[in-house]
Amino acid sequence: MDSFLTPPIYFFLFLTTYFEVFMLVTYFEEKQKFKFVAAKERMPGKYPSVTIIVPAWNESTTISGTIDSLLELKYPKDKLTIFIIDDGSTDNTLEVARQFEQHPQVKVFTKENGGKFTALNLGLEHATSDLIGCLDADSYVANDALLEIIPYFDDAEIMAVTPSVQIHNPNNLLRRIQAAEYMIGEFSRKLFSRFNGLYVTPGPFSIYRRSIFAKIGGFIHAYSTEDMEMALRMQSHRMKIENAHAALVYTVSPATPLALYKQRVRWVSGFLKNAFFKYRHMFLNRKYGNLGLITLPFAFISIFISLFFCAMYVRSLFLLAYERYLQYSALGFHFTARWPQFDWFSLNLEFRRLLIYCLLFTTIFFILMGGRLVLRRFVVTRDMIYFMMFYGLIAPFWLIGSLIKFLSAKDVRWR
Amino acid sequence: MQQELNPKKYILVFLITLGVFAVIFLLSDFLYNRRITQVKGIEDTINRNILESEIQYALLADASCDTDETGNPVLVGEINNLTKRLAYMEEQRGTNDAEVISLKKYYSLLQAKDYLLVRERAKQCDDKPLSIIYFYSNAGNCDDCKKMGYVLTSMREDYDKLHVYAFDYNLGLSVVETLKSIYKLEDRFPVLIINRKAYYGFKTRAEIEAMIPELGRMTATSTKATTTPK
Repeated sequence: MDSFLTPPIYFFLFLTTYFEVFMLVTYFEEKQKFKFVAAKERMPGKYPSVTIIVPAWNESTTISGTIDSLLELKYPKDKLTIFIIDDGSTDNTLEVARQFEQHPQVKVFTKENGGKFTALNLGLEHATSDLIGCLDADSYVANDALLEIIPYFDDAEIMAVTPSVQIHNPNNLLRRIQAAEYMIGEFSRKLFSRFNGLYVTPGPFSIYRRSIFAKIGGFIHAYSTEDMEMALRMQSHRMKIENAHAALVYTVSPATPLALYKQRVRWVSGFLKNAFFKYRHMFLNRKYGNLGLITLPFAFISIFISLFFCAMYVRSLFLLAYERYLQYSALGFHFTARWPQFDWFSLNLEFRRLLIYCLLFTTIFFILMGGRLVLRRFVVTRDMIYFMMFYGLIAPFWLIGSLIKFLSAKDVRWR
Repeated sequence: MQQELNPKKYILVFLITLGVFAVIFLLSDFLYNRRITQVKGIEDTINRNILESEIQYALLADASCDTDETGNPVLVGEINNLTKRLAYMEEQRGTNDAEVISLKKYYSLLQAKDYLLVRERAKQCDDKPLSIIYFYSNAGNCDDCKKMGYVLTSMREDYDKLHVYAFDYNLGLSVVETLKSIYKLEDRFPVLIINRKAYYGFKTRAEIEAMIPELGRMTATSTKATTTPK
């Protein structure tokens, strides 16, 4: 069994190492871009007008917080407009939103339910500003988030800027694991942006130049991952996307295993469907640069690599548990009052294991760097430890679920 | 933002990745060779200890049976040392590895020597040796052998005068073959030889203690931690 698995193990280890080395080389080349420079006051005429569209469907419990956080943004009031688009909610989302109409910045629209992308498109139809942003109605922005994002648009080639999305109030184990995951995600996104390899403009507070929608069109359903599709469409038109790591946005994350599973299956299967049914031509295509040659192929293959290593992790845990069971069934609760003796000889230092240790150290580096980007200091948090311990046990569920959903997709369009 | 396509960077990253693999491979090879040197050192020590033990036995032949030298401390220490390293080697290299088999043969010889010394000393003093010979098999999936290993390890730790000798049934060593023929062993595992009688199948700690009543009169003590290979 082990000799049968040896070639794929080394293949996956090589690919993973290559990708991580690519990321690390990029980091050391672009280290300056990861620093924090306080957002400077701009000349009064240098603030572009911005419209933030908040699509909402049955978000009555969170939408006031979302709108409040937008109203508290440090940005000239006359340059910032907030569109609340009620997508035919069946709860009192509309009533809650209407309470904010007293603010001259806020405009509330309502329409029949048609999905998030239709709400966004209604906002696009009415917007006249230079920049357009989206914010999910369960997310909250830090008050300097927009000020951190705007300077990136000084570069005329930048067509969209993504923020640093983090978890709002991580108050249980599942959310804490996600909090660490989002921190690593931010470090990766920042790195991807350095080599123009971003393929998602997240729903929470990604900001676009309005002009791009005239060129490439509005949002589409895109298997319920319209933010990913928009980024892929922009990339397919060679439009540049940046990441503003200091622009913090907090989103409410799933609190239960089932909700998390559903969210991740939607994301991963959405990526697979968009990538394969619509943007397959970008894979391994030199024309699309690092996105086509590095990011997309690795994003795809990493699903299988993750599954493979998760399976190895689960197998090791199972064998350990089985050994403990045998020990228990042989001896019962038989404790000896001896200290465990450490012996260098018993440490597993064979080639494959050393490679895995090396990748593990890189992962820890990524976690710490992610923490530094978000918390602005090097720190080991409880969330990071939970992530290291449990992520490998829960991720296989949605990875397998996504593959099944992808393979059984009814609307397969290969051509 | 970096340039879109950078073949030089792709090649550089490829070379670094190869370098990482090469360094880790060399490091792992270096560490393994150091281990092999350690193992060879242990084998040399065993050879010397076997010789020492014969001399020690000859000296003990003149000693009074009142002295507490019923065992051979030199060999016991070496056996314990070797047992741990052997368990590690078996886990890492697999049971079919040439180094593992060679070390196991040394281990078996050392155990056989200790067994003979303990038996002779007991005969000389008209005493009953507290020893268990344990045969296990790595062929197939012998969970009972693993369980037996845990029980014997715990007993070896608790009773410092109990000698446990573990032999791989399929090692192909003449000493093991001789023991198999003396006790007319069947291919059923695990098997324990206690007081020259073979017991097949897993036995609990209580069952073994019942088979060796002398253990009941002995206070369980803590000695060096050892492991018994499964």
